[in-house]
Amino acid sequence: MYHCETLESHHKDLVHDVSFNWYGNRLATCSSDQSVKIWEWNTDQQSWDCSASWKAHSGSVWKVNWAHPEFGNLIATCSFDRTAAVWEEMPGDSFLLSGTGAPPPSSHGNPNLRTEGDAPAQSHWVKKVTMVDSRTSVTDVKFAPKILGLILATCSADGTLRIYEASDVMNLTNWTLQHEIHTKLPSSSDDATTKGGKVFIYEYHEPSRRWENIETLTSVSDPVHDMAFSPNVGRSFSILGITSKELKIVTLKPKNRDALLSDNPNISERTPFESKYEVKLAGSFNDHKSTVWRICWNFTATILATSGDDGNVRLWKCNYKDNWHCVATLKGDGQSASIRNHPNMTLLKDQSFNNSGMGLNKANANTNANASSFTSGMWK
Amino acid sequence: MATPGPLAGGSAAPATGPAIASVHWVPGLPDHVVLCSADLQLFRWRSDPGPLDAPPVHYGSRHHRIAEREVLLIEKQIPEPPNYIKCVSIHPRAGDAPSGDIRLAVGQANGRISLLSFLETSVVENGEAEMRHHVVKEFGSKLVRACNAVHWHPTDERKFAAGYEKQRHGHAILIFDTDREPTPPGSASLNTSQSSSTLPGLASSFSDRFRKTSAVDDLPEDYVRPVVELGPSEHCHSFTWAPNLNNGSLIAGMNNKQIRVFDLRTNTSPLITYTRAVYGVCVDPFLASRVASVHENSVMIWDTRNFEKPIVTLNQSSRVLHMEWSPTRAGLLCSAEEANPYLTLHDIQSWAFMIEDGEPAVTERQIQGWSEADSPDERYTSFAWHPTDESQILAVVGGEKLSKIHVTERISPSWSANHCLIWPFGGKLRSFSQKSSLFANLQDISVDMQMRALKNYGKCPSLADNQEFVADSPSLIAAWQWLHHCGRLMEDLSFKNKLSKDTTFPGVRTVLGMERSPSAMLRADINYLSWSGCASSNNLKQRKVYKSEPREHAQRICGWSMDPNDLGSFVKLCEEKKQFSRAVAVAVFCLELGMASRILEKCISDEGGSILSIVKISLAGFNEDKNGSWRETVRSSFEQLEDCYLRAMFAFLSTDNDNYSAIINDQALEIGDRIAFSCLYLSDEKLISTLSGLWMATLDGSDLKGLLLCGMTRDTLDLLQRYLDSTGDIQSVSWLSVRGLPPYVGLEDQVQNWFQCYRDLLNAWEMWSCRANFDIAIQKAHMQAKPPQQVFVSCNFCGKSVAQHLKGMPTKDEAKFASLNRQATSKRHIRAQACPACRKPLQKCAVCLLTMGTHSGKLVTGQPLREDAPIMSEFGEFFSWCQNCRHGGHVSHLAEWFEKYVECPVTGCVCKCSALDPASFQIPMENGLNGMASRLALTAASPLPPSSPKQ
Repeated sequence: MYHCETLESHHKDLVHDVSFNWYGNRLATCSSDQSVKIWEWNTDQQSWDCSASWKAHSGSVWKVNWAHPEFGNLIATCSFDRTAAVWEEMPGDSFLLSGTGAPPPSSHGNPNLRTEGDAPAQSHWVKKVTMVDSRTSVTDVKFAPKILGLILATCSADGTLRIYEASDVMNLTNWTLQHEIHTKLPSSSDDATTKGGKVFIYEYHEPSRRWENIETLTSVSDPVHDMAFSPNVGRSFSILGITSKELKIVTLKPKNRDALLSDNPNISERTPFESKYEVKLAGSFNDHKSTVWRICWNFTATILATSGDDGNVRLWKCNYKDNWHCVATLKGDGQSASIRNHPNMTLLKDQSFNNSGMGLNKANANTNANASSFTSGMWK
Repeated sequence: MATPGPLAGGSAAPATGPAIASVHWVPGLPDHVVLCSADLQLFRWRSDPGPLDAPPVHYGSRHHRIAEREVLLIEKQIPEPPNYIKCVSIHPRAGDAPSGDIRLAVGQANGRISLLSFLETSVVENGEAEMRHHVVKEFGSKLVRACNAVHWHPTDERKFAAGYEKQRHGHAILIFDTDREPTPPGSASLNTSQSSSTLPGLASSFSDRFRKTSAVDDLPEDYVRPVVELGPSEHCHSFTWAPNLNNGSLIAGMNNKQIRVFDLRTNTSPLITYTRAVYGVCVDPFLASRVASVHENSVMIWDTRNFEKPIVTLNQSSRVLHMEWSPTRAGLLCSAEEANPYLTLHDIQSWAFMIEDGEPAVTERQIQGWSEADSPDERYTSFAWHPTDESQILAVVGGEKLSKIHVTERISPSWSANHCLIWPFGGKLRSFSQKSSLFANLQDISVDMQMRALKNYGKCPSLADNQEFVADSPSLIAAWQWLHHCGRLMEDLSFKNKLSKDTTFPGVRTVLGMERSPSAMLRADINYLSWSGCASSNNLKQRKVYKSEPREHAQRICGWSMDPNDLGSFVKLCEEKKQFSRAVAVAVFCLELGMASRILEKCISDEGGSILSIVKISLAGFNEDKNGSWRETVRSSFEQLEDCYLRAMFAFLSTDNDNYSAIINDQALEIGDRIAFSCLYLSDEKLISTLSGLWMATLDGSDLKGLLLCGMTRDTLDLLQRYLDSTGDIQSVSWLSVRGLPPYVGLEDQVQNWFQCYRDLLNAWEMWSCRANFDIAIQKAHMQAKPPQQVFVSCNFCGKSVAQHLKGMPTKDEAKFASLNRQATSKRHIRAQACPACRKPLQKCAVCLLTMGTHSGKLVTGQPLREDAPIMSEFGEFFSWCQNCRHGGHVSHLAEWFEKYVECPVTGCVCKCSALDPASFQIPMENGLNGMASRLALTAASPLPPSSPKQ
């Protein structure tokens, strides 16, 4: 039996998303009760304490996402109320000077700030900007990898993907809509009538200064509920996890530069939209025996967690043979968990690796793909 | 309660046979269910006892299995229930009733409504004791017409309403009071005050109509007069109570064309909308104005405040049979369709917000319950939400079976950098933290890496020591061991000088020159060497041996060569590791039979071991007589030996024509031994093809043992990348690169990317000192350009850098320094309170109000900075300032100040300096000053443009 800790969220409705900050010592939750809560890890008591809770939107809040700490304490939220917002933390006086008889928090606080229960809100979160471009519910929001700077992408129910950039990192109230990509997929994508691929991969194309669709995954034709690129911890390829009726794992290997050169010696005249990636379906699993909803990677991209309609969270690992296996099943209520390690998990024999694709793309290329992936990921 | 029976079409045939028409949870008794088929049965929910993996308990025939380990067991049954049951409604206070007196109102096709109880009641009639089972009371209709719907009033437990088919002389909806006694036939006198007192909302004006209609007819004997009659000569398809709408309303689908909202308080004409969707009318328990109704395939959702047209129409793939709002979650509507093997959940979002324009967003979801293996595709015909448990639905499958559906939330899991997996479930957050044994059992590299980093893996001065941290990975052990071995070889100048200058750890391919051109001629000399250490050695054939300097070097890289010193130390190493057979085999490969016997002897005396004794005996009998029995015996039997080295040794001894492929291709042998052997006994051409084959194999296997082939060169990147791709072990790859690669390779993008990834990882784990150690190692390995000075402090008067003049001053010339400041008290503690260029005083510290006079950091000299250059002043005396208000002072003073205050120390300045950078508060304070200093350092930047940048 594995011990599962439980924590009362005090949200008044369904909690839609939980997100860790980069260090994993803070947590943000968002809910249908239109509020967002921030939790701090208390090292002394080994527990999560709620440090802020406020009504963030006038509709269900779907997702919350932290920016890299080098941009400050920033979160982005998106909601059914057709907006996305960026919030920044302003530590109040009480937070800094707790216990020294400090004056009450100063006036520049957040008017929406509410204290909840007996855990007093300790920090102010100030809305820096509201993105109002979408005409439909904003279903996902994510910050780009930090290497690209402070960039935010949103996608909305009508199939539009928007990329915003903070024009001045010192003044976060100013974001410009850099790109708008219309994916031409119907808004309610639970609609299974659309034929063909449901996952598009975009990459920023410098000469045309646009995000171009470089790849459409034809192997996925069912409605996609979630997807996630693996964090790139030095790997030569990216792994993309896609959840729809079943879990699909796709690897994107940058094509070997030499191979590219030999295919087309005039590399500079290559058409811009020609795929630079070798896309391979690494596996397709229906262990959940029902719809798979959400997916997330651990920090080193060695374990994948998915949740499905069977009420379980499953963990997946890849063995040396490049085969993925479900290694653990955790009940949604945390009451039971079972692990089965595959015998060949730790063996190092008889591997067959694809022999090409060793050329490392510039870090940029990979991260660009990362930045775009999440956005195309939310077509439900 | 639920609307029983098929919704669409009032003409639908009543349930016959075993088919279950509807299920109803008993309000107040969360584990009781009433099944309505031709029978009325009360079931009780029960889960199988015993452990989870026990086989399901067999309960006999009168039960329904609703899930893997859950059944409904029959509790009670009403014998001889009324025929032609059309609809059922369970009393809303059934849970409060004494011992199982669960009452239900049953509407029948002939218009009668029976109030039944699962408890028997005896009624004395005409003097005889006659048992009238279960029937508590009957409410007749004066007309024979089908009763389409019956519903108890949700709060007033004495009232229920019934909806009827059209009859010229009857009303469509009748509301009855169970307390009212049957009216004697012919009695026309009515007590209207009774109705108004029991249902205060009902206006007495209704009784006018009531009187008119009821007085005419010839009433049955037990006729109970309804308290309210609605819709004269009309047809009611379905209706629902809406207790929260206008303090009590009734919403009904009438006459195939309209939905009406009857306000029971007044006699005003009802609110009407015209639609064909008159079936299955139901109201959201969380929002009284939200009503759903259905016609064939379309589910329509209405808002009674804006009743003209539906707010949204949801078209389904087939006819909707049953539909219910969730009693526990707002805006969740579930429907069963005729042709679908699932139920459809409609999640209607944020109603009020969207009212002005457009449609509300509806997300649909298909749910399926447990089913027995043989019937996965059966249709769902009806269902009931559990009244309190928000995730449970009991569904009727295929008309006969029941299935529990667990509506799970969409769990969104999230991982933290610290291996904490968390997800929300049922309003609570569930988490598995790093401490959970779950992760220990998963054996993931992410946890291993953190553990290793905590123990300072990678930075041990001796390369070999690093293997202790990776005891569970033979591949890594071999890599560190080999690096250590090769490092020792490189100390030998005669070896090192043969290689190009920037080689750090040469591999076999490096020394053989295979990296430059695969077919590089090795030009080996062929020698014939004879056996040594054997009495009969003169009789033995000499072996053909290839020798050249590169080959010898390659052998040494692999660990052993013909050189007695190398061989000796190798054998000793093997003996230490108890690899005796390996030592023996290598001795034999080097034609040292005497040495081999000595090793065997030692081993037998130390360890015992019958096999080795036999080996020794057979070795003693070694001869090369082509027709001799020794050779034949060995050849026929050596392949059965389990020990790969003994096998290889006998293969070598009994070989013909210098054919050694059995040894070279034996994968069980250490790759180093195979390569060293190949270097000794293979011709140039064969050697190169063998080595190329081995290299491809190690690449494919992403095996770090292959490091001895490539050394630490550019080729190594391929191998490391493969290893990283298959294991995710960025830590070992980074450290191996730092410790092993030559600087020019280390500066490549690929390697720098690894470094950055590993740094990010350590930063995310908040292991700053570990990260710093790694950075230092990178710097030492010259794999990173030193960042130029970024911040200069310039004089406010002349604009020149206050530290600029130190450039070019030799460190030792401290006298010159001292002359800058006559108050210098010690040679080590140099102060410069004035600008060295214009001699004007420097800024004052905002706290101590003294002129600042400190040079920071190390002495800037003309020469490249030395590691050990003296530090000129304590960190506490550094300049620091606020980015915003540009006030500043000594670090130690500022740190002390901001411990207590948020505001700037300068009088009148309201800048909240220390609150400006929230990020800095996330960094834990190690101890007072240092922690504060690191915060301030984060905010520090040049207040003025640098006067003359250094680079």
